[in-house]
Amino acid sequence: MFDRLFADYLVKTGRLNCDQLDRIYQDQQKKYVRLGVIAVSEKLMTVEEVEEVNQLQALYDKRFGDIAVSEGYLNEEQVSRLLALQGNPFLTFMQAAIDSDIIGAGEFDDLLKEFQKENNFTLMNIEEMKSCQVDRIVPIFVYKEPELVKKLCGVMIRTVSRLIDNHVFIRKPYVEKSVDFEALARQELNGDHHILTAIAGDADDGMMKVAVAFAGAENVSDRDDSLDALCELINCVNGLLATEASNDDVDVDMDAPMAEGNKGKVRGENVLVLPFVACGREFKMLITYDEDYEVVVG
Amino acid sequence: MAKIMVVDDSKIMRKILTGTLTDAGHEVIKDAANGKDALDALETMEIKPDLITLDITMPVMDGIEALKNIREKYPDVKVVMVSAAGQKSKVLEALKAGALDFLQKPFEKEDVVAVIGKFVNNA
Repeated sequence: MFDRLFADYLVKTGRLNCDQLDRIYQDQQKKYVRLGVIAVSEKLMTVEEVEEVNQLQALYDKRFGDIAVSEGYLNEEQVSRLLALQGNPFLTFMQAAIDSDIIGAGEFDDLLKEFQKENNFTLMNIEEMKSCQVDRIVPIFVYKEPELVKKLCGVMIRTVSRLIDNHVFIRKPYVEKSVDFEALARQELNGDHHILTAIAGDADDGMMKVAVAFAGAENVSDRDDSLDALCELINCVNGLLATEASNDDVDVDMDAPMAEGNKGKVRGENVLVLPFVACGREFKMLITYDEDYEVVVG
Repeated sequence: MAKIMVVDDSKIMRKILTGTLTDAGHEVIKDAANGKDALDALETMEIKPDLITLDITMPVMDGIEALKNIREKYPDVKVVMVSAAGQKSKVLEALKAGALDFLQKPFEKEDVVAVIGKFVNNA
């Protein structure tokens, strides 16, 4: 997830163009991350130290980790931890960008610092995001929200990642009094809390892509099917949330989901908007929590 | 092979379930978008289904109410709940009302086939 979020930032700031990004993504699929790249990313070694170990590797038939330990740069425990990180998507992205000569090994740290500064993240936030684990990333973005809303956002992104696009990523959330939509799938939750969960889609082809990924191409033939699939996605997400909440003795009941196929607005005092990108298109997850809202169509 | 009725307010979900069950060798003889439509259909069907997959969260008549009606009027028809609403209270209520099992959405297709198969493979 963080690989895609960071790539999005690099494209938006002009550091990468779309062709370069495509090359990196293609290369990323085949990548096995070298231990030296991970050691630099984890700030356990400098680029110079890694180069030195690489040169020693060329001279002796030994593994990177063994040389790094014998040279005193790493201990055995650190090598084990680095080995466990070899499949991490952010690191494979980094490796692919470096190997394609698109971004230099030494540049990544500066780019991450810029990303951190521009988005007001802490260093700890960046370290959490580099794990690429949804459950560690989503709370960073919605830390101000009530616990149940945090859970809801986590379940949504985890479910989209599992069922629709494992490269889904989120953008910074914001709060509005009125949010426009071109099409909307929504469901109301009642019980101990009164919650609206909705997904607003702007483009038909985007909705269609998500619907096909969710339900299979053989089951989706038109816009109504796409909206129906989005409703069912919300229903599954809310069902998982309600199940999780019931284990904590929080009562959450679900109304039947509803679709709005025409343009409109969701209005409320505090409509939380969590943008997420799936199948290459941006969607908005809309949430109101324990307050009135209205959906106006037309 | 069993005769099955699929009840779910989502057309997509009805298609997915129908496709999955058909591929597994069953015959989906009817589908319905809510509990009331399902009961109306059952009244007019000459050959009743061996099993009904029943969603819970539906407009007009929800799955729990439909389940109670089905068990009362058609005690030979087996019912398996297929629902996103997996709260403990819902599961217990459904099982108490006579559902044979409870499958939570989102499901793996193999799980649907396995669970339905437990109850109808001799049909």
